[in-house]
Amino acid sequence: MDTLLEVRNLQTHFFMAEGVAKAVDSTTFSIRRGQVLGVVGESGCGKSVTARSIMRMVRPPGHTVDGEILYSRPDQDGQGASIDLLQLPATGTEMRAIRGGEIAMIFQEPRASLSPVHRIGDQITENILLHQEVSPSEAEEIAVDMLRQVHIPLAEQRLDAFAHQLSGGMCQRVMIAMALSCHPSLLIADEPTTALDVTTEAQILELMQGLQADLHMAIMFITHDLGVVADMADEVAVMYLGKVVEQGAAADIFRDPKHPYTIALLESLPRMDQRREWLQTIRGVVPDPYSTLSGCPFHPRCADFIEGVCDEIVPEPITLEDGREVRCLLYTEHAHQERPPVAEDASHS
Amino acid sequence: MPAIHSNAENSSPLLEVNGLKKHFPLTAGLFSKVVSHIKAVDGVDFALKKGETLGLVGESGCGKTTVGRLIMRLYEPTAGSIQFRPHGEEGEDYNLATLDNASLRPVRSHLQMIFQDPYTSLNPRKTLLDIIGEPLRLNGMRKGSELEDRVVEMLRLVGLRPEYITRYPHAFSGGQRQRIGIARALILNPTLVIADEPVSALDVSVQAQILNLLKFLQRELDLTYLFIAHDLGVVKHISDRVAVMYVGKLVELAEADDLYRKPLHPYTEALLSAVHVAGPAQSHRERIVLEGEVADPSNPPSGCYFHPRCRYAQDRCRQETPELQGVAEGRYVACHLAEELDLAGAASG
Repeated sequence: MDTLLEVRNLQTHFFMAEGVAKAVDSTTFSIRRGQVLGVVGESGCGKSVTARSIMRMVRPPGHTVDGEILYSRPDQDGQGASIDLLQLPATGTEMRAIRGGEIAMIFQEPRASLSPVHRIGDQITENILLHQEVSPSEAEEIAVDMLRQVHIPLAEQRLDAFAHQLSGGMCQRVMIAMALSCHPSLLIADEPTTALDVTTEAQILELMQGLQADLHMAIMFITHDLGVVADMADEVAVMYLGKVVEQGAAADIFRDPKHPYTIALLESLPRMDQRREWLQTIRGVVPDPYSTLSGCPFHPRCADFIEGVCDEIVPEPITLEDGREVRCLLYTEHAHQERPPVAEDASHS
Repeated sequence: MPAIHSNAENSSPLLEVNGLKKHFPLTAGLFSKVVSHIKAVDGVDFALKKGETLGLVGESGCGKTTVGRLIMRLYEPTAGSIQFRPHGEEGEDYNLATLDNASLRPVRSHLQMIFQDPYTSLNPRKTLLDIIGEPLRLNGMRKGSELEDRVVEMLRLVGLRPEYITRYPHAFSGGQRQRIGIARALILNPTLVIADEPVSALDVSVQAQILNLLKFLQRELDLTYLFIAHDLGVVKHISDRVAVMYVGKLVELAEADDLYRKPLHPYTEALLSAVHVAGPAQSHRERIVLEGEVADPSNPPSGCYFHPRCRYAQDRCRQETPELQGVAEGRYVACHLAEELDLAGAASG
């Protein structure tokens, strides 16, 4: 059992005046210990809400209405005990110990996530004092050590700095130092490099890869950038309209994507290693979250849409031979009844 | 630097930028004494042929947007000339850097700009008829039903439905808004379009639609683009030639394919290595992680501005500032070591 976190049938809905927005709609995936899971999808697909649901940080009008988030934490005898985070009170002692301690999170806007009126050092030590039984001076030592680990020069002096005195890349390093100061077993990184320049992004990714190996933690890496995922992730989950439509080993997914949405996403990217006259596009746009579509949520935009099947049957996740999970009717007997399988049509490389 | 402009044909270019500079004053104290200058653009030369796309890339703060705005004369240049020949060789030759406002007006209709953020660049209180038709109305060129007809024509051209003409921007998605911005920019039949990060705020599937649209319009309307962006994949896809900017100066300018296959400047090499390719892992591709941060344009380092971060830097680089020089047909680079180094490009297919 090396599964660290298992999300089953997670449903987080936002109850708005306009209707119910199903931001996360029966999402299922798992993260193994020490592994990097890349979660990709376009804006509004529910990646960030999934992360916030795991952290139990969804604010009203959003509510997690159903599902399980099974987190296995090692207990005293080293035996894994699995607890459902959704059963814990969101503001209870246990959840507060997990949030920021065992499961830490970093965000897209590093400067906005730091307090503008508190010194960097105080912000890091606050988190350490909250989760570890150490004295303030010990906490400060840990803070300096963490700042060194994220390669911040003159770490002792930086403790007294304010967020506005640091560059975006430096602020993200501080956020990482803060997140890792309590040795979490899972780091949720929500678009951690999206606001950064490419050369700064390269620095941060290099740093995260190094720390992930050293500290043996799992990372849930949320991004819209398929390139970053190809570089960072062991496993990839592709989300569309609140559902994971495909999950599998990163190498498999990039070599041979199975879900029509994954295929279309990869085809729509301008590539440096190829010259194409026209980019493939996905017809239409992501529907608004209040709409209720029958059948597969991707069917109005899908290139392989089968009439009478895809718009009627809701696809369930299917496991393929290579262990990959796909939510698509093309890989079920429904498609076979209608026409020859499109499944092996992998001419998209 | 005449070498820059001797492109294959001898025809005079549509736009010719020479020694362009923009220094923003930094003030301090009670009487706003000017204490120093931010050299946002510090001596930039390039030329644009009619019908081509020049990609201008660089990290935030490198001055690429300022170059675009100087050409639009949204800023007053500190020094340099901007020769613009919208009517071809025989037509008039304007120096945009020195024209006064009155004589600038008629020229401006040949120059248009597309902005990055489709959410803030459209007035929320105006309908599409007002927004797209405004340039025509301001120039007193059409009114009434004639104006409406032209707006409908533009809507069709950019792939929006004519009945949208009475709607307000809030009713549209990001991609549709960018189409509106494009329609507004093109309604006066411009010759040169400056697109400042036109797809950075869009999701990949929508980004592909807009890139295809820009390419299509270029062919239909014989447009010339200055395409400012930070995403090297996007720039390669759309550009014929690419210029790389670092701290207010061009460091490299070449045909897109040449630049990506074999960069001549170490900064270009580092930028290319930092780009993630969304494909099966190119396991052994080296990611060059630059040390430190982009130089401060108010206090740039001595010699080559890039030397503190350059892994090939020698003594000469710390003392002498390299000029942008032609090293081969259509290739320009500002590096003392350009002829000695053998740099790695992006994987080409």
